[in-house]
Amino acid sequence: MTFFRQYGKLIGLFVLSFLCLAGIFNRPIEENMLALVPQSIKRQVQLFEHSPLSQKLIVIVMSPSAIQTTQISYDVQEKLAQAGLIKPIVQPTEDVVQDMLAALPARFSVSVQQITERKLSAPSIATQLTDYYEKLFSFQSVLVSELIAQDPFYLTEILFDKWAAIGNKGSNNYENGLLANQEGTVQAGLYDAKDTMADLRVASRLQKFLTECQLSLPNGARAFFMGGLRYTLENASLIKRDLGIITLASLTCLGGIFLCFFRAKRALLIYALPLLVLPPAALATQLIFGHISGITLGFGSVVAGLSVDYAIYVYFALQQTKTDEIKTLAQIRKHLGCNFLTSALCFVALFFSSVEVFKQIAVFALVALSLALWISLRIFPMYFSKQIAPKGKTVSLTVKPFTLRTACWVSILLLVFGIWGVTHVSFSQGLDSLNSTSADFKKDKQVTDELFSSDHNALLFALGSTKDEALANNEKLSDRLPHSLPVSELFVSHQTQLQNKARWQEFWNASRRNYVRLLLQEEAQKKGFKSNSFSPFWQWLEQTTTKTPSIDFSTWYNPVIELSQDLYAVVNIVPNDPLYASVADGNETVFVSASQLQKDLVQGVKKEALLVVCLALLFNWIAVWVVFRNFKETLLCFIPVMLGGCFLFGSLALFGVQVNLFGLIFLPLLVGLGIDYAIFQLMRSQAQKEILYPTQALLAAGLSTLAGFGVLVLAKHAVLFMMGLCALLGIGGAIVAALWILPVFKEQTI
Amino acid sequence: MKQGLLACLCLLSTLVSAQAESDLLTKYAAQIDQVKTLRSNFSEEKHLSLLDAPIESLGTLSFDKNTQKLYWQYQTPFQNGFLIEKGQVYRLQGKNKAPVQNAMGRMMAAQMVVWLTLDFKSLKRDYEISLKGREITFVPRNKVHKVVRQITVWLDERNPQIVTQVRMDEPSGDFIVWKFTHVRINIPLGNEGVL
Repeated sequence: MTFFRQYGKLIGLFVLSFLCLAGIFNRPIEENMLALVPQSIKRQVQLFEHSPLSQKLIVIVMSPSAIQTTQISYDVQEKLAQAGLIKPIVQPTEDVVQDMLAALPARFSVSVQQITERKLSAPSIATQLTDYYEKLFSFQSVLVSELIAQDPFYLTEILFDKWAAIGNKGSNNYENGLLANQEGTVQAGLYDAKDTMADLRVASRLQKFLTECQLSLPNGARAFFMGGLRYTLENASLIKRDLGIITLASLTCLGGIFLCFFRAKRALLIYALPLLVLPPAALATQLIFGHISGITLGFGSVVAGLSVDYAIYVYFALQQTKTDEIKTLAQIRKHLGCNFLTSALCFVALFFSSVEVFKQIAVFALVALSLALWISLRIFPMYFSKQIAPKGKTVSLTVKPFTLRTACWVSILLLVFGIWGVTHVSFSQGLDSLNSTSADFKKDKQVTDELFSSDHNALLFALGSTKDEALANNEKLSDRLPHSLPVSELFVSHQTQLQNKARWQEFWNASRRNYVRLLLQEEAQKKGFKSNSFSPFWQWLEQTTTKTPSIDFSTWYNPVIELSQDLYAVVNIVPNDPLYASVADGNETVFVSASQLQKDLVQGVKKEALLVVCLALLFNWIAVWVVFRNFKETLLCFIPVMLGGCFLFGSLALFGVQVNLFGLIFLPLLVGLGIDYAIFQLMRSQAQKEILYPTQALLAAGLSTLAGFGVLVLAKHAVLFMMGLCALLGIGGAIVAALWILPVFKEQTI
Repeated sequence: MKQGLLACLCLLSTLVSAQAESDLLTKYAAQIDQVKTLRSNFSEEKHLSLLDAPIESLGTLSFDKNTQKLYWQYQTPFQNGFLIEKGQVYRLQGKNKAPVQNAMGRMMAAQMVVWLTLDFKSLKRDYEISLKGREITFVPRNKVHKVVRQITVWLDERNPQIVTQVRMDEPSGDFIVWKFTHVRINIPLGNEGVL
């Protein structure tokens, strides 16, 4: 009974935490790219995500011989399908010529009619038959004899040309699902993966499959895969490696801090606090947003660092003071409340961002910090209140601040360093900086980039509330351009199909049919073709003029994407040219180029980060002013933040570190933490409360944050590394400023 | 009992004959394998249902097994052909050569090397092979093959290392006959095919 009275609340909290943990893993953790981007470019990213290539698994085969490469490509394709790693390959059709001809009436636009008229002139027929006749003598004659019988005027060439132009592919050759370079030595198969492109298990299976496949390939040949799955695999393997190192380093550091400052069993509760607060916070976030991002969960380490601070301050206050528990807690409550307020306001500022993940982080952090404060003040004191004799000697610190002169000089130098840093720091413009990849990956990516030169291409989308409306809008869009969009001529709206079919029937009237037939017979006789050689064509034409068939090309390639229940878009691959950007109005038509999108994304996040930092500063200013009711003390609170920030930006610029987006996300946090340290110092000097605020409490709190968060600097993954580096430099700088500089200025104001 | 014995004898003779055929094919394969270089004139006769009369082309070919280089040049009535060199396939048009872009074209050219070297190992995978004297018949295992119904190869009566004639029958009824004359094997080839 006594045991339950003593430990019941604690056990209850652990049980609750475990239940929350089970609740979180009951639902999948989703990583949606859209949750990471500002509202201003959300639609562009959403459209870009649906671009034809982004959904594909790309398997690349390369060897010194074009023949060998083709053979291996088909072999690998077959094995991939057999292994169930890709969806079965849908061969375009058994008879491509037949299907292309069948597709012609519905695509018989005015321009197609004009080309057809030219093809049916006497000189064109003569030239075409001469060309066909010559081809019959070539080594590929078996491939053309069927074509000649079915399409003597080579009308299918009109649609073949439009298909060839669909990818704006430049010098590369796309055929039978394989995109090859000029020499044919590098060929990429574009497949639909069986499972989601972010599934790690699928990525691992694919990697294993291709590694085994590699063993049976001839010397000099290679097969590898690219696309979303490869990024998933690369990032996951790196994060796995990083987690091992980081956990080990973090535990070692925390162990060191524990030995230096605590050395008591009950003090271990301080480090158990994150286990109690993070699962409920994650579950609350998941319930509010319907899902939770991995990045939000990753932010747990940061929140963990913040939350333990409360417990540390309570622990030291109770250990140092000889007065009763209630009185001590009442004395420290104002400080902890203020600390909570400043940190919480930094996260409240995130609500003003349009990035969903920022909002998730805000909810997650606010719930976690509230719980941490409540547990630190209500639950833990009963375990901390007894005077615990540490086993061995703990660190007892007295930090001697700088002299006024030194503090001024250091501050000025740091300010100059910071200003120089802000103007010289470089931000990486690419999204690639958020992915960390191996040297092998970089080599493979270079090969892929040479095949898919996305820098030259962009995507032009025509939107509509139905598929047909999107197709009709795409046709209107095409009419506004000097060169029509091939997709608009191959994928035709219902209304235009009816018009084209009517045009086709009118065109092939009886007199034209007879006239052209005579012309063809005359030329065919000259070349030695039999009189009935072209009967398949005339029979087919007869059928189309009585009944116009419809053929759906979308089984070959589908440019229409469904964005939501009532929003569809047609994708056109166009040159990355201002002409195409100028026709986009942002509503019915949207122009997206990968390079511009990356720039917009970085700019957008920069803007959002700046807004959040400004709001965090403003909110904190108000909060600190409300607490201290004194301009000078309020100003003093910002010294660690400012100097920490200066040190951070100066160092980043000095060492030429390319800052990625996650470096910016860290900034509001620096504000919150820096101010916390300043409040601690100011509270300490107020009414001479050194005993409640021992220096080792600040140091233990700061070092715990660095141990949990700063060790991320050991990570190879770019995102984790950037967060760790910013923590180490920014928070490290703020701690130094709070300990050695702030007290000097504080003394001057008294 | 008697019928059973006869059936056994028939089965045995079939097995013995199949074994003999297989041994002979293996022997031919080993002999053909000794051919390292080849130079020949050829005639190509196409019997196409599209045309009133068969058409004939004449040309030359040279092949180096070590470098896998094949030079197939039509001389009359049109000067064209193809060249396989260092794993690449080029279309020859007059004095020009350009890479063959389409995969089907590349595969067809590559098939010519298989037929010229009579690479039985590769051929057995895709064809049922039967032998009658010096006449070897290849029937695709894929019964709905779009291009080939049957291919027949004749070896020289005196020297089975030399292919004298090949006939390819298409499912449509069209067929092509290649006849090889002035065949010289294992001679130095020089720089044929270098344009």
